[in-house]
Amino acid sequence: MAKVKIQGHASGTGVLTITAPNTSTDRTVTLPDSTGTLLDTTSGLDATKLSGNLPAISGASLTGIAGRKNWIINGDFQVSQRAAYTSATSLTSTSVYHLDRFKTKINTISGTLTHKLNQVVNGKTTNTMLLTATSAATGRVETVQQIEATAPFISQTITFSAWVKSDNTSARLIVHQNGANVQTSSNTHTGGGAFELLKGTVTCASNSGEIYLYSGIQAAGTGNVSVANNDYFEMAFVQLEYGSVATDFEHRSYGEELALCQRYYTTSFNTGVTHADNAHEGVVSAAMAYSAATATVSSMAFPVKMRTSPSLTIYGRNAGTGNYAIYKSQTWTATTTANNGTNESFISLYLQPSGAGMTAHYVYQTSGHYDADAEL
Amino acid sequence: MVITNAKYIKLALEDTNGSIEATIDGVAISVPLATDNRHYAEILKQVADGDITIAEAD
Repeated sequence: MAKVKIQGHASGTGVLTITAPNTSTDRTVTLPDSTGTLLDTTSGLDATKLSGNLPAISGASLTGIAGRKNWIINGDFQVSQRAAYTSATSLTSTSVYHLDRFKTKINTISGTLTHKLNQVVNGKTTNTMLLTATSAATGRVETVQQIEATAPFISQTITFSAWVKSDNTSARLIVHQNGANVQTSSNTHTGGGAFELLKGTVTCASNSGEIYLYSGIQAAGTGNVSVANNDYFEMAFVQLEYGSVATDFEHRSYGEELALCQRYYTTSFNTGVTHADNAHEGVVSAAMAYSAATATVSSMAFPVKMRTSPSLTIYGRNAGTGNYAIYKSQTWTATTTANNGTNESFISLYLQPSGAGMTAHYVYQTSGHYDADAEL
Repeated sequence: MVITNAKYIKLALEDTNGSIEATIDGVAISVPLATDNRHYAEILKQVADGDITIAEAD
């Protein structure tokens, strides 16, 4: 028969007591057939001991697990539909969208934006956004993304984070709750010139309203600070998530990220092509002439349903500028092109070509390009 | 936004306004009459502030 031995400690003075629960049922507790220490609330538990069905654990308590958690779109700067900004692009004092979903501006200083491709950040290869001051003053350079949803943040705790490289100690992230008019800053960068993880946590107010994530060289309330010429702010892996822990960045595929961006902005141009008249082969569609044979309507579906009816910029191809062309009498002919009820799903253009040559109810080719903007 | 040359455009074959053509920050843009479109919201704001007017459609 195996035996049970209870042994005291030669040095200790405490008294250990084994107590019974309040029960009327006989129980048997079987000791493990191995040498070790029983678990208590202060014990560690390594991964090899976890097996079977795990209990429910809050995602905010986990790290190294990807999932649908990042409210920031294009947080790793994969998507740049408007243009290639791989060379330094001048910023203005008015916020302008460059890389998808982020609008950027400078205040009292001059500055540039550069889309840097294939940079190594925290051991991973990614794209980054680089903001550089090109003059010295008390000012700021910042980029901001507004999150479309508002209700999901009411009274919720959120954490925002990004990997940031800077030489200015006022480099930071800020969440602005527009409804409550509350700004919450992350920790600031050391200014040491290496990538550092900046992060902050805030419990949103019951009237939080629109949520904005500002990033750049700026004061805690998004005001001006001392900026020297060539000061820079480069960031990657931008994330905003539920909970009080900054977890690993959620990677999404380029296709997923592009589709998310296209809800707010889409274009008929290929990626990397300059958006201009006659800059690229036009998008050809078919359109049937009205009975008067003086006009036709060209309609095409957007790749994804847009946030709202978009503003349109039209580009010419084959003939004319700022207007679609139509192929009639064996030649491309410029038209007068007008928006004709474009909505969230379709672009619809009313085309009136110059001169005669169309036949009522005949189908004609049209050609041109468009940008559609439904940004916040 | 700097907005100039704002003008209503009617829908084809109908007698109702369907959009506004305007030059916004130097770019010719067609703006839908949708209140949650940021360009239309800004046009309405600048009209209310007396900064711009919108010409009637032809």
